[in-house]
Amino acid sequence: MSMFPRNATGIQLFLLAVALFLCVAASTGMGYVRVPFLDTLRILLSALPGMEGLGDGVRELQQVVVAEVRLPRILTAALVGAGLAICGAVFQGILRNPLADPYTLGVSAGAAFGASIALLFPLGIPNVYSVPLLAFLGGTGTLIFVIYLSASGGGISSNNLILSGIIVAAILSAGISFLKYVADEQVSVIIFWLMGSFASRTWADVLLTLTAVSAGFAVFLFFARDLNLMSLGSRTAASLGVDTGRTLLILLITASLVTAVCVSVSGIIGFVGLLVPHMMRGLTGPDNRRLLPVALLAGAILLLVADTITRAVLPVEVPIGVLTALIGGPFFCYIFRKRQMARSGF
Amino acid sequence: MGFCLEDVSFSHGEKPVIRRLSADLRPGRFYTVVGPNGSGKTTFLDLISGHLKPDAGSIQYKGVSIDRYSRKDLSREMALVPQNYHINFPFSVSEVVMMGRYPHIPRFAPPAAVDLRIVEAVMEMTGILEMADRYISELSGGERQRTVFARALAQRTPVLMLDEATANLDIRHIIRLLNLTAESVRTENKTVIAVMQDINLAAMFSDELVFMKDGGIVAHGPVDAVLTPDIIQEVFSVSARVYFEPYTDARQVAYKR
Repeated sequence: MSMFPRNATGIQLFLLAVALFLCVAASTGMGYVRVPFLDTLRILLSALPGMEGLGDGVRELQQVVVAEVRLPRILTAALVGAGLAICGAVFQGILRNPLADPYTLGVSAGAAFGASIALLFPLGIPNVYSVPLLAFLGGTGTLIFVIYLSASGGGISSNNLILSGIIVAAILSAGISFLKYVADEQVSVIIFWLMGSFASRTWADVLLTLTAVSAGFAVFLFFARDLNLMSLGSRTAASLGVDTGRTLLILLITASLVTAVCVSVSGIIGFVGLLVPHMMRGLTGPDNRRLLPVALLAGAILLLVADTITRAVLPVEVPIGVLTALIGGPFFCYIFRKRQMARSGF
Repeated sequence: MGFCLEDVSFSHGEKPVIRRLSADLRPGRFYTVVGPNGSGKTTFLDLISGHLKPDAGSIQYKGVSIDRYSRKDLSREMALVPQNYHINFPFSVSEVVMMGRYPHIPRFAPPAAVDLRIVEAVMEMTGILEMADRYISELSGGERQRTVFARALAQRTPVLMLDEATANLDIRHIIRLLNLTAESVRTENKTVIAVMQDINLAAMFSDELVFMKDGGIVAHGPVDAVLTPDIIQEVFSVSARVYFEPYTDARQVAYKR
């Protein structure tokens, strides 16, 4: 009897990490200004202490393009992909539904609504700060309202959470439409932001996302075993020693925070949070202690590749949110249909 | 020194579910709670396991109020086999049974040799060893129920709670699991508190019956004392004949159609 049949996680993590590094290096070289692969590597490595001399032979234009334009965008894309993927895994575990994601709870819609307000009404502070701030307030505010809607005397049921999330998201998207309607000539700013884009990201965005995603990842890993039990139901989890109310609250708030930061730097990017954990579960099994690290890396690779395709491969830059929805949507339909068929099987 | 409930009341919103209920449950006994649907049996289990908090009254376990225990402490004292439910995530059978050891394994530690031994032993006992690597999401209702039963046994707790834990099983597995349970009451001094629909099965395996109706206890005592036509009439509103059946070595009930 093999008690732990899926002990290949270490190898998977190593391969994914190598793949991620190669993707970062390759995509840095791609684009309007071509940078040879070896030069990219030298510029990347010259950032390390003690290696400053490595970048000397590379032309200044290429150094600026790589360090100030491409790397911030590439790293933001990878970090957002990683953040959305682990949040998706956590929401799926909490809601006991392998098809849930940040959107199901209305968190993304709330964050987008907050960001739209920040874009539309100048608050006297630069957009760089006001958009993430209002996105976070919108996201967590929505979450608190959704929890309030779905809470009944004994606790929170996952079905109620999903229903409330969908209702609130519908109201919020009408609200966003209203904002677009009153926005007049500024409407294009909101529309482009909502469709999602990593264009002109800065090192400040990288830092913000890195902080949120790594803090969130640490919290999720700490509760990963509890999350396994929660995914079997709160009564079961409680009988196996999990303080279900507290754990649920901590995980929901952390996941909403990470989602809000991701939405605020990139706009709405759908299906990453849903598809990445779902596909990775096929590799690692449902144990979140293995799933979370693998989903983190896979999400980073997926969104980075998607962003590089729209940036450097396609003749026109398609908004990344549109691209992920166009590819991810049909794929989601396929998975959903397969599940329906499997269910009706017995 | 088992459970001591005094004047416990609980409501779901406006609706009272448990009304001023008092009871003493001692170690080394097999208790079965019987009663009509909606009489508060599952809520009773949720209250004594600390999953729900009473609105009024006190619940003590080992002489200490139940809300003084942390969830972790309680998970080392009592295990629950819940009503059958669907599991969406493809954990393997052995992974699910290993979850029963979580209360005894530190958060980031791998299972020790003793944990692996216990898991294998309970899987053997419940007859699920040959499906160790199958996915719980693909099992039949009865196979899933046995897996969850094994998980509760792997917890190795002094108290075992069964919430209609055998409802989905065929009679061979029901008898196997209930014999196992009754055996552990005698040899390990376990406290078993079960909720069952089948009064004849309850009479075969239990030491005491607890009859519930409308959130209160109508009768509680040794099977031979409380399993009577009058009490069945009062609790379920059906006519029944109660007789001693030498073949099952227990009182049994025949119902009038």
